[in-house]
Amino acid sequence: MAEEKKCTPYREKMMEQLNRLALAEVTEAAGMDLAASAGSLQAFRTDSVEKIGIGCFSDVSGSQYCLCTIIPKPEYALPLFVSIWNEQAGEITFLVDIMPTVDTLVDEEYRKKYIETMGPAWDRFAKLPGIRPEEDDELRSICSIIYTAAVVPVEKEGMRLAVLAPHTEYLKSYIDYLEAAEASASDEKQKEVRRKTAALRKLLRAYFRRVVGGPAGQLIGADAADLLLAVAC
Amino acid sequence: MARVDFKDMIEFEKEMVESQKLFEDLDLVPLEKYLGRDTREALEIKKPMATGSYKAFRLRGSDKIDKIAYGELHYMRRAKYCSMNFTTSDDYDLPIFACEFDESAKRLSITIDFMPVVDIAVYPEYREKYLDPLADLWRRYRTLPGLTEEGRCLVQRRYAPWPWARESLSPYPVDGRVTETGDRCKVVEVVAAYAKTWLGLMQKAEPVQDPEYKREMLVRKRAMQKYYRDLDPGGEVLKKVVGEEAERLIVSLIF
Repeated sequence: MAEEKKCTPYREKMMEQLNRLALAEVTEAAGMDLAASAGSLQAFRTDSVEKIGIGCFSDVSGSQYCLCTIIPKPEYALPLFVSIWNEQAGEITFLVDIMPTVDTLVDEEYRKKYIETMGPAWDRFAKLPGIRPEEDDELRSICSIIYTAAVVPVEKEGMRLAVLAPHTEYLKSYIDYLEAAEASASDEKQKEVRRKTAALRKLLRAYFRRVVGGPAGQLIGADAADLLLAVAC
Repeated sequence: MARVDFKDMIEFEKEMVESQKLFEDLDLVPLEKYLGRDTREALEIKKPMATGSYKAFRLRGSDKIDKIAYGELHYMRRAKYCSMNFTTSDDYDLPIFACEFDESAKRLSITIDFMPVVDIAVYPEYREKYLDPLADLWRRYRTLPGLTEEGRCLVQRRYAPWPWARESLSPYPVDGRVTETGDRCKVVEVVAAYAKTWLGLMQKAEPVQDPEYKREMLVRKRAMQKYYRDLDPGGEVLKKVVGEEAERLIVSLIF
């Protein structure tokens, strides 16, 4: 019998960060029962967050597809958090971002508060082997200026946790933003945030639809595909 | 690493305008005044530390173009700072074609892009229409040595110290530093290919009809122009080299 290979502890490490929040687990998404995913997908709510989705699909060969998204309520005028992790035996493809919900060329205050503060981390992770722009044109077009993406060859076991570091570090900063946020956005700002958040969710849904239709779809399985879209976007 | 003598550096205007025949199908007329300034003063710059020339045009009989501008400044026979910018008038929503092409003995630094004048997450159809035509070129040229090294592709990172500048970029910038002579020539190819793509899109462009979309577009376009004209880190050096008045004129032409 083939020995089961260990995957990177993505869910465990991300949940360590998420557990800083007062999470309320939800059992369904878009009218679908999450129990159908047999534990692969979970969703949560908090006072300031409409939806936190986390999912991991793995097989005995050590392949794993994971994601974590956070969609805040518009009155907080916060960015989205998006983390995507595609692990194969010798390689990890990933993207992590704090995705703005306003035009950050125009809204300098928002950019300085939520995006530029990530600059030092973005610079530091640029040293990872395999760093490169996100390959999916549409996904790249909605990323912030501090997204980190790479295809990292895994040459030794210790590398897996090093590659996970951008995800946990971005998430840690994002949770700091959540904890400091107040529901004080003006009506005009909320309108802008709602419009852009809806546009981002639509494009993320299209992206994850491409994912479940691609090679990672075999890991996820046809039954979980709709659930994944409901949890993630 | 190859060092390139000043005499062997790329003659930007000659390569782009003459050899590539970029504008041969266009009826360009000199733009003599821009933002209240006499552009003829930039046609011949002769200062103790620098010489150069910047030219600006519009299209005869058309309201599509705000400016087609290009130029170069030669600094103490050590380096060349070259630029090219195509901007449509405010009735059109084409991205701003921006090219910064700076060559010294050690390297050629490049940023070439179509800078979107609307938020492309909110308007994905804008990306499909104006930016996605660059996808194949971007994939081909981002692998140039210097832009990609040892499996690491560093495009979208040249403007690392200036977040406002990164905000202005599309998903398809070709930016970074190239050292080898043969690779420097390939940078000319990518500038020409991007320029030809933009000029092709411009020929088909129609005026913006939706007033709310136009209002939003102009807020972003003005913000972008203000950033580059007020905060471009090259501006301070330029002031020292050519003086404040000439610097304001050149900066308004190249962005």
